[in-house]
Formats: sequence, structure tokens, C-alpha cells
Amino acid sequence: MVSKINNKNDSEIVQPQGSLGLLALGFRGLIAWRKTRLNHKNKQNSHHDLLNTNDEKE
Amino acid sequence: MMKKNKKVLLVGWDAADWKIINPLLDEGRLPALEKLVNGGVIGNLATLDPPLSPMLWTSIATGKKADKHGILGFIEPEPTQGGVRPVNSTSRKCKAIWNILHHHGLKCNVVGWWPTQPAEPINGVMVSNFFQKATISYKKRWDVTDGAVFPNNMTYLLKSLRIHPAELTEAHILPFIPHAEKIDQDKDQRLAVLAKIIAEAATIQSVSTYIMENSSWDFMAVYFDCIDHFGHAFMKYRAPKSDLISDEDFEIYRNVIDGAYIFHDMMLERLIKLAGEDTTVVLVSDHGFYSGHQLPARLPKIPAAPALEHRPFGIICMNGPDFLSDERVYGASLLDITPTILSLYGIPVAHDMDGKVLTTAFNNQLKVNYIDSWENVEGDFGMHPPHLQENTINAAAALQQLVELGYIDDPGEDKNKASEMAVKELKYNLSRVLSSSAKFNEAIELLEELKLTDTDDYRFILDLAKCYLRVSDINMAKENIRFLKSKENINSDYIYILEGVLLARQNKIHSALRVLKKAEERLPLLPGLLNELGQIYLNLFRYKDAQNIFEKILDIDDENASAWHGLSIAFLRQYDYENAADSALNALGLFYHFPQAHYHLGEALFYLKKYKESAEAFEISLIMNPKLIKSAQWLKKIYTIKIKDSKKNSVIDSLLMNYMKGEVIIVSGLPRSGTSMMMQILQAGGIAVLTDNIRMADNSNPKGYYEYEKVKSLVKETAWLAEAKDKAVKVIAHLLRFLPPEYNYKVIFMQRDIYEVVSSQQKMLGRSSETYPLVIAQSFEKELEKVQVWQTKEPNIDLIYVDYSKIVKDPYPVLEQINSFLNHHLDVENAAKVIDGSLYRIKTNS
Repeated sequence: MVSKINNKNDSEIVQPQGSLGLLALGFRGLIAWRKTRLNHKNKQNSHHDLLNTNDEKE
Repeated sequence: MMKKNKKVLLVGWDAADWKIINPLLDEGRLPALEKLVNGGVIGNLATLDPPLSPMLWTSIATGKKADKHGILGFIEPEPTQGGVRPVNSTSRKCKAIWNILHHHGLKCNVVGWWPTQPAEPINGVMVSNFFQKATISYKKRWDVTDGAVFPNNMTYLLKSLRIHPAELTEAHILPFIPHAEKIDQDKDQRLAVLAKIIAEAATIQSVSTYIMENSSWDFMAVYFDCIDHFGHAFMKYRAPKSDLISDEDFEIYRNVIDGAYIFHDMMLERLIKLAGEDTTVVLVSDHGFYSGHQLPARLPKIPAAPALEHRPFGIICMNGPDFLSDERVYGASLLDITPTILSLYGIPVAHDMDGKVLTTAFNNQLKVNYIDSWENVEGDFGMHPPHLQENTINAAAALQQLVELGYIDDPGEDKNKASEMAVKELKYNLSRVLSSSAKFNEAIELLEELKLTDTDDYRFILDLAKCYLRVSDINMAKENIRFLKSKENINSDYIYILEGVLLARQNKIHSALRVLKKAEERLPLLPGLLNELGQIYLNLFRYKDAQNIFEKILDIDDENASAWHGLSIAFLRQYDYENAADSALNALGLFYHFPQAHYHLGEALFYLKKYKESAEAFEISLIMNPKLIKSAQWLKKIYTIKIKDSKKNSVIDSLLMNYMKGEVIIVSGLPRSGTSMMMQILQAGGIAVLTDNIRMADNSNPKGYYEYEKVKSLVKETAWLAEAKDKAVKVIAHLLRFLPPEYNYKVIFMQRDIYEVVSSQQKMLGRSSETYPLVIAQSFEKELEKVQVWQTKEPNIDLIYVDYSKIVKDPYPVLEQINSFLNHHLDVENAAKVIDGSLYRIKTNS
């Protein structure tokens, strides 16, 4: 999952694993990274849940 | 007049060093810093001794040395419960820049600065240096230390902006260690160390950017300790590869240091952007970091040993509307940061600050206002209340007394020991501060006290020996060196060096040279040792050898101010004034507060006929060291003969009035060069002569020797010169350089063909005229060279050469010259009567 932080002309690709660039951006980079990481984790979990459910159905 | 619309962003990069930065800039890998450098003023920032971060960053923030600001080390005794704690802001005993700005109603934010725990109640936000430390494992409750944030109600919000090392991923690590997968983390903790450093830096950045975006501010100070931490952990792996490092480690960790600077550049870019275009940015480091072959291979087992890896020059880069663009500033010290920033705001600089305003960095004439001290000014300075301010050394002593009196429980053996050790280190650090400020007697007092408490710690004895040498207490220096020699665990090379210096101070120059050469065989690249050797060569008039030694030091470290200064003297004495001036300027570019280097720059400029600049250099040296009376003598010479400034002359006269004791006429030359004849001439011409007639006339000198017995003891005793005031006295060439500086001398120096001189001496000694002692002749020629050097370097000397054969053959023209030299006090007619050509018996052509 890749999102983009874009505030006050700063742009940095936000990936779940983060980057030094995001840390260098400071709190905005940190928040964007944590948000993306959380979304990614939630998605993974829901995907995992979905797979588990299908397994159960089978 | 205070300027309210100024904004200053002060960024601290602990241990940042131009030696690492410059190649990265050249490769275009630090774009933010490159922009800052190109549009601003840069330079070296001289550090202080000892180079310990809490002391240094407090000096940066106060403009004062540690004996005034009170922060003396990393840890201090815990004043109430015993034991120790990291040094606290309450131990600082003077106002920091943020307190002074607060007093003027300016909004200040301070993040991470050493030591600011507990955070001070300033008009803005302060986040202490305790805030970012991840002291607990991930996902456990990670509290913020009490008092780490002011105002306290921001703690909760800022807490969420911290980054724990365990949060980091390979995306953060790989830019530093591309082959991190090769590391076995169960055995190798270096990856964990790296993650911790990155996380702490990221926390500082995160909190700083939040505060910058969400508050209005006039002054923002952000401090990063990571480059220093990276240096201590990873500098040894940076290219060129050391033999002590395995190929595997080198391959894995070689990029960490460069990565650290690149990461800091990325963070800097963001800070500058948030600060806004009109904000002045000041980037500084407290010291540099040795790299390559200069990095110590091993560290001794002493407290604060890692500080031995600190290079004495940090960085400074200032960029903003008031500063010059693409320029360099020379001679800056970290003490200058606070005075310079205060001046930017138009706030008075205190006379009790040890630093100066870096006026040459400004693009317009700067009017600096002064105040005696900010410490006596009452009012709100955003400081902790007085009852919280502590002298922890005293507090530890008081705590111990209460324990002994039975009022409180003993905190326990370990705690007591830790506290004692901390006090010992604080006192030792204070002794180094005092000694580096030339307060040797105060340093000795402390060191003697420390020596009593711990005779096994060789640092105290070593420093005592050095201090005693500096105050010329040779016996005590000897005693301490002897004591050092009795210890088993001490590197004997260092004792050799001390012994060499001791011998040199006792004027046993040749023995000193022998001892130091022996030490050099074992430590061929030790700059401190080479510097001592260079000084000895200067003392021995071996200027080319001195030049070689100082150049050797500069090959090892081209930022060694002492070596540049030594080289300047070596060039001066070889009459190479251009190089002498350049070398002195290089020394001053590194260390501005260097009165001797200003002095020698003045001398070089004088001979380059740049009299105005020369006078300026001598004036600065005199201001820095009022005891440098020779500077005043040079100024007298310049303002009398070259610039003719009566106003300045009278100022100098008043300075010299209590020092100078009058004028003496000296008749000099090699033995048998006509000095006795010149004494007769002067006497006959109406000049009073000082002679005791102890040495009677003989066949060699039928008209007498005109000597004065006490002259022979000139090396040891000079009080007799009072008797020679306004008289002529005979002093042989070899003794001229021992003439004391408190008299002005008119020197009439007799020159005679060296063959004639030596042959005449041979005859006088009853030796055969068949053999000519070439070695003696060469030695005399060398002596004449030394006189020439002596004449150029002493401002109180006025010298005329008189050719013996000329005055004998055709006296009048020469006598007229002498008369003019003696301000027309010589009766030429009477003087001429005593010249007896028949005594000119040994001639070159005879």
C-alpha cells in the first residue's frame, strides 16, 4: 500500500515500512507513516480474516 | 535597540566535522547544507578543553567557560538521595541565551539541548535532553521523564511524536548498512546501537518540526547528538580501512558515517524550510571528530576516554539577511555563538561572557552594545526558581555530612562510591578548564587536592607536572614527574616528553633535544611531541629544522594552530616574511585568541612594510595579553618612526612608563673585532662608559679592555644594568640575546673580517698562526647570523654595524655616522684622536 504525503509542497511517497525521508520530514512524515502502516496492517488482518473465513467455509 | 522581527534557528550537530562534510559537499550529497554554505559564512569553530558535550553545549548557550557556567561533566552527584544522576540544568549557575531572550519578551523554543533537564519555564517550549531517550523495551509503557517538557501540558501530545528504535524497519537501516542481512544480531549489537541513534534523532526532528509549525517563535534551538554517537560507534569502519578492522566489518559498516551526515542534511532541509526564508540559520558543532589515521587506534581506560576522539575544531555556518554570502569567518570559538546571536537581536552582550561577536561575518557595520553582566539584572528570565538551582559538589558534601551526623541514612556503599567518583571527575574537569584558561595556580590547588584522594590516577599527577612547568615551579614539576616514573601502569613515552619539556624549561636545551628525540623514535607522529621538538629547534636557532618539524605536524593535521604558529616563527627567523605572515594568519584562523600568533603576525607585517596592519596585530596581542610588553615596544617603534602618530604614541608611552627603565649604549661584536677601541672612541667622544678595569691592559690590548665583570653573568643576573643607564658598556655578541627587555638599547656592533678575528684570537692565546681553526670560524659566523636574527625580532634594539677596517683607515665618515646614531652626543674630533691605526696588526691581505 502506497500513499502520498502532500502538505506545504512537500511530497514523499509513504510506504508501510517507512523511510528515512519520512523521518526527516518530522512529525508530518511520522504521522503519515504510522497511518499508512496501520492501514496496511488492518488490510492485511482483514485479508487474513477473510482467508480464514473461507477456509472455515470449505 | 532590540530588533523584534528577527528569527534565528540554531541547529546543533554534535561532533560534525568539515573533514567529513567537505568531500560529501563536493559529491553533491548534502544539498541543504551546500545551499546554506554557499549563501552564508562558514568557518572552524574552536572547541574548549575538556571537550565534553554537556560543558561545551552550555558554553555555546551562555558564551562562558565552564568555570563560570558550572556544568562540569556528564554526571553529577544526586544531591538528595545520594548516588549520581546525569547532569541537570539546575547545576547551571548563569543565564543561557534563551533566558536573556525571554527577558526581552522573545519567544524561544529549545529542543534536546545539553543539559536542559528539567526544562526551564521559558516563554515558549523547552523539551529537555532526557525526552528522546528510549529507556524501555518496545510496547512497554514508555513514560516521559518528569520535567522533560515545558509547558507540562504539552507532554502528552509530544510523547506521541517519539520514535522507539524497535519501530524502525529495514527501510531506515539499509541506507546506513546496505548489507545488514549479514549481521548476526544475537552476537553483534551494533545494529541495535544504530537503530537507537536513528530513533533518537528522528524524535528530536519530529518534536522540533511540530513546535515550529504550531507556535510562533523568535528563537528556535535544536540539538542532535547523533553524529557524535555515530562517530564513537562507527568512525573506525570508515575508509581508509584501518589494519585493526576486519574486512568483513569494514564492508558492513563503512557507509554508516556518511549516511549519518546525509540523514542530518535531510532533516536540516526540513528545518530550514519550516523556519522560513528570512530566518537566520546558525549551524554549529561543539568539536570535530578524528577520522582516518588521526583516529586513536585504542582508547585508554580512563573516564571520558571517548573524548580523545574529538578533534578540536567543530563547524560553524551562518546564513541569513545580516550575514555575508559565500565567505569565511576566521578564529571563531564556540564561546562566540551567544554574543553573536544576541547582537543579531540588538541585545547587549555581557562583558563577563568569554566569547566575542563575530563581527567580520556581518554584511554591514554592526553596532554591538555591551552590558557588564546579565547575571546581576533582576527580572523574569524564565529560569528555575533559585531554590532549585544547585551546586551538586557542595550538595554531595552536605549530604555526606548529614549521613555522618546521623540525620539521614547512608545511601549505600555503591551510591557513595559513585558520588565520590562523580565529584572527582567534576573537579578534574574544572582543573582542566582552569588550566586551559591559564589559571594554573587555581588548577594546581584542585589537582593537589585530587592527588591526595587518589594517588593511582596518573591524570592528576601528569596535569600537575604540566601546570607546575607552566608556572616555572621546576622542583614541583620534577617531583611529580618522579612520582609518575614510580608508577607501573603509565606509558613511559609521555614521561619522556614531560622530561624533555622540563629540561627545556631549565635551559638544558641539548639534553631536552636528546630526550625528545628518543621519544620521537617511539611516537614519530605525535603532534604534541613534535611541537615540543619544534620549539627546541627554534630555541637552538635551527630554523630550517624547526620549519621541517612544524611542516611534518601539518602533514598529519593541517589544523594544528600551534604548528602554524611555530612555522610562522621559523619563517620569520629565516627572513621569509610572506610565509611567516601567512602561517601566523593560518594559526589565527584556527584560534583567534592567540596573542603570541598576533604578535608574530605583527612582526612579519612590519618587515613587509605594512605598518598599519602590523600595528593592529600588535595592538590585538596587547589587548589579549597586557603582559606582552614587547608588543607595546613594537607599537612605540611603529608610531614613532613609521606612522608618526603622536596621539597613539602618548598612549603607548603611558603603557611603557612603568615598565621601561631607560637607554643603554652597547658596544658589541666578536672578541678581537675592535670593541675595546670603540669603547675608547666613545669615552674620548664624551660618552660615559661602564667599566671596572678589572681586566688590565696587556700586549693584545695596550689601551685596555674596557670591560665590566658583571656582564659575564648576564644570563643569570641583569640588575646591574641599572648602572649602565645612559652609559656605554661592552657586551660580546654571544650574550646580546640575554639583554632584558626593560631597556632600550643602542647597539654599536663591530664587524671585522672573520679571518682577522680568529687569527687575532689565536695570536692572543699564543697559538700557532700556521693553522686556521675553521670550526671556530664557522661557529663565529653562525653567531653573527644569530645577532642578525636577534636584531630583527627585538623591538627595543637600534643597531648600527661599524666596519673595523674602515674606521681605522678613514675614521671621520664612520664617526659621523655613529654621532648621528647617538643623536649627536659624540664629540667626533676628540673621538678620532684615539684611533690608532698601528694597532691594526692582523689584516686579511697581510
